[in-house]
Amino acid sequence: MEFKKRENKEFTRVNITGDLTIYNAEKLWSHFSDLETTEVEKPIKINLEKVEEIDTSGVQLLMQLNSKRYKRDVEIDATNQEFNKLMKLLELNLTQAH
Amino acid sequence: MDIPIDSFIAEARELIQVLESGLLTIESHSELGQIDSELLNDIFRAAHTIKGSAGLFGLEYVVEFTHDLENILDRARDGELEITVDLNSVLLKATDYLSLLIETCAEQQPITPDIVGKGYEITELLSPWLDDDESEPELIETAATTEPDDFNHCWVISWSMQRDALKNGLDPIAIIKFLSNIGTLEYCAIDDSDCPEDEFDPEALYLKFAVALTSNASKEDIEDAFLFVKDESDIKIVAPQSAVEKYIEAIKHQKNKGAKLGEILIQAGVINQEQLEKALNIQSELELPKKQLGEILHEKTGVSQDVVNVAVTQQKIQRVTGGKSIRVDSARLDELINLVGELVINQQAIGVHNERIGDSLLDESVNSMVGLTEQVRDAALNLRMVQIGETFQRFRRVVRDTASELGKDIELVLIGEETELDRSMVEKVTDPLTHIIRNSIDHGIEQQAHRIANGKAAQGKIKITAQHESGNVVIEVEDDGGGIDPERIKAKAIEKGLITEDAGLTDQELVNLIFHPGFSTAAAVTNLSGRGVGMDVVKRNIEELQGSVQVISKLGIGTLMTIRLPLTMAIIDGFHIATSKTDFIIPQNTLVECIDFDSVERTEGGNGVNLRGEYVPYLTLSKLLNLPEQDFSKQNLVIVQFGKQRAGILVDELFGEMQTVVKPLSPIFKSLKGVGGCSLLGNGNIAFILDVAQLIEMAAIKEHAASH
Repeated sequence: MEFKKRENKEFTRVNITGDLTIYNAEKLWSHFSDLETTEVEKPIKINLEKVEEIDTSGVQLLMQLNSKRYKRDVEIDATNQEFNKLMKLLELNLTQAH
Repeated sequence: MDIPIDSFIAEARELIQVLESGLLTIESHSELGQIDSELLNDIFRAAHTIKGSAGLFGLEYVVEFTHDLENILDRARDGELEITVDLNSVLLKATDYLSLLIETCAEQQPITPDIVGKGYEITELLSPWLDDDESEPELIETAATTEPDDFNHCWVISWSMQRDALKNGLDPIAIIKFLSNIGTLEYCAIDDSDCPEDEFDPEALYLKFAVALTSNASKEDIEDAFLFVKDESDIKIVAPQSAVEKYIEAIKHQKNKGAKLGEILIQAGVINQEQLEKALNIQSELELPKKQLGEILHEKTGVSQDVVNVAVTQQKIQRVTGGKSIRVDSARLDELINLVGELVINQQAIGVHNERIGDSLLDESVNSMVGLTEQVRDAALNLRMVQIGETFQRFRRVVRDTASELGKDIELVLIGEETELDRSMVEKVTDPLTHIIRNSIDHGIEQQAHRIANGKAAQGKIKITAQHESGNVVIEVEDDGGGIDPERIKAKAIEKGLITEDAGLTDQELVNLIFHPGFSTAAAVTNLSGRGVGMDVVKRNIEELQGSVQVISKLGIGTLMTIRLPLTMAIIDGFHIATSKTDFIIPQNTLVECIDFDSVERTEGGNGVNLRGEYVPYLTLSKLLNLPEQDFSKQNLVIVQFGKQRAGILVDELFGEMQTVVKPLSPIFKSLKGVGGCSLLGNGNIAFILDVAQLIEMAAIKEHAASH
């Protein structure tokens, strides 16, 4: 899993590559925890186009980011077919910012 | 009526008793602010079970009405409303109405517009306490409350897993994917409400899951999805309505005698052994009041409430047809007792022939048969023994309603409810007891102001006690009212021409006049008593049961009515005697001793004997019954006792103990004093069964008359 962050004036861009599973959930959450405490006013936009596999811990982490429990606004603005298929199955809509 | 509906009616009657009894207990405790939550649960469950079972038999009107009752009780159980005196009163009326519905059903009569009208009235009374949102009956319950309720055609599966499930390599979403492969997911919900705001652990599982699945898969197929996670998960699988119907059908067709609820559900494929064990574990760990197994299976495993209700009913039916406890039509028991009676008579006839033949081997066999017959008799009679408590419970309602009607506050204390009595006796003693209790409330217990002015507690008390005493049952009704005024009785008796001014009766004799036909001292004729057809009828009814009723009253302190009844009137142990060549039976439980009449000292005037220093009045049976006197060289005095009173009966011959099958007397003998029934002897003769209570009373009257 690769976590890449890019800042611009309006938002923080995060690109995730690889698997979004229990094996890297802790590492991923650590990155987002760091982001949570900095530049709170700016939203985070996440690109999941290059995510290959996602399991329950990955879905749970995205739900946590997408909830008001996470201090920054998060929007998943780029996804792939596999991700969309899973979201459809789970009847989840995580692409809207909270 | 077939067995299942018959069983439902019997069960509903019992549950209505639970409802009524519970509501009366709540009413008596509510003033003290103590409502027992377990009792409230019992009452709720009674209403809930009636509703559920009625639904199974298509008694929609009962279901609809009971739903309102259940709704209010459920709200009370949840602490949403308080059971006030007003509400309790309405609930009791609702219980009465429910009883009316059940009895209408029992008589296979239609629900008439009149009955429906009464129902509207009761529902109107209940309406202030009804939860508006819950006023419609829920015909189908879905266990997963978070899901929309239009998935009755789906399997509704919900589950949660332990926090460390993800770390253990489990992946709940993989289960959802699996389920989507065996059917169509109509709905999926992931609940993240347990996710913490702080200290979120990305490797811990906080999510809970629910799906609705349309599938032809069996429950086992669905359970397979959870094969590796079942130990770490709480899984609820609610079957679609079609499967629920199949389960119900499967349960209804089961014929496992005495099967338990869990066994019934497993056999129908509703749950598996592990789910049952899990539910039983949950139940065992609960603190009192424990939930019922069906409730736990519904809540935790998602078993449809309809399925649970059917299984509970099936369990009861199976108990009736083969469990440890069975329900038997009392007419069948009566038939058995009659047959045992015939057996006893035949055994005695064989005994007579045996004596004539004088064969030692035959004698041994006959003796053995006598022993066995006695055992069969006792076992058969025991089948009809019931606790008197159920009857006592009815009096709580009588006291409540009568006291309320008269504006009195009365506490009812019941003691000895476990005392057993022949069912037929219990049925026959209920009316006399009800009359005595109503009299106590109406004439005995004073109005509050009067009690307070006399230094008594504002609340009156009636105590009903039952206990066994020397083969009899003694029932006492004691009140702490104003007592019976002998002077008032005397004045009334003179006015009615029952006695003369100079009759010279003692206070007790005056008080006993309340049992005289047509006697009443009530100043006003109320709808409770005062018609002068009360205590004489009570006495007659009790005497017809070979019992007695006595009254002891202390002016200003209270009245004690004592009823003595034999345990049974079907087959008794008797003592065979004869006088003037006529056979008689003395009930064994009244017999004290038999003595040679010539060996006892007679008192002056010849009405009594000196029995080891105790004066005992006696009667000559032949004289009493106008039988021709026989010249017997030796006469026998049989000492009998009923209650605390003793008397002697002078007879010619003593034959000894024998089992006696009690038969009613022909109406032409009804006026015969001192005789309560008859029995057929082994030699074909008829023996008259002596009414010892009446004989003792007659001996006392004779002795009193002689002393005056």
